[in-house]
Amino acid sequence: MPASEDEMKIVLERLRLMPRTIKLNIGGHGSFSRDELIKQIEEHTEIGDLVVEMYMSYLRSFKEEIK
Amino acid sequence: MSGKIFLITTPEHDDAVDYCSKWSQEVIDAAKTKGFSVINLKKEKANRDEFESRIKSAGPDFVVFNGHGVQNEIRGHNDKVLLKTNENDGLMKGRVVYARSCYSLSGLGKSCWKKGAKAFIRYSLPFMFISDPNRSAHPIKDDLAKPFFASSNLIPLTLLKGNTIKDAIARHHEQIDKFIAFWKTQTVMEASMVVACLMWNKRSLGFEGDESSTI
Repeated sequence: MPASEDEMKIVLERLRLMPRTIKLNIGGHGSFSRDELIKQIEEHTEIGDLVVEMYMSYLRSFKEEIK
Repeated sequence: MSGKIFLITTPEHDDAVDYCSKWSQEVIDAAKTKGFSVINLKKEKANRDEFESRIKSAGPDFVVFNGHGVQNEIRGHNDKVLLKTNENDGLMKGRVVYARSCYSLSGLGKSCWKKGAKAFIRYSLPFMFISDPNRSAHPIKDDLAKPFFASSNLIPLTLLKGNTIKDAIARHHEQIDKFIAFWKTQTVMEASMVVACLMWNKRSLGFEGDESSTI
């Protein structure tokens, strides 16, 4: 499912706080620096949507923990 | 000697598979200690001809793949296909399989199981990990990557000790939960991304077959 604009904004803000040097390796899709991930999300690519989905499921887990 | 045979693929043609393969040394060492005969299809030897030949001639009890994958394929050196649904998936008959590769659930895992594999453990989504590019020459020393490989290695390590599929997955989940608890306390900005990826891999891991199977 494509990421919503709000979800994208949340993940982009979080990513911008992270060091430029980290790499996220996404299986056969390749390895991406912080800035490359930001670009993928801004351009609404499949990789960008995957990263937003992954990070949002982490954020939602906090809500479930509180419940 | 257990008299059992363990086959593993360790391609190294890109950073992601190089990390998987370097971290597999711990598993290879453990297999040797347990008395397994180890067949390591390293770098360019992780090709289909070599793979099929060694499966047929040696008949390994346990097969571990490091490499990229899609729903119906697992790949080896230079992303060339090693195992494919409806082509050579019958070769996994009678074996326990662990694929540290993405997406190999719905197609390949199921078809291998239907064709007689004892169990097929795999990720239904991309296997993700964080790494520090300054450590890429020495993946084992990369503290950001450690939680991903130390936990995923527990699948083969637990199976090599004679435990069941169910035990291996439980040990993996316990270890991931410990790493998640640790990284949640860390204040570095990348900590949240480490936790997010660990949760993702935990959710993505599953298996086809009998959970009471052993090697």
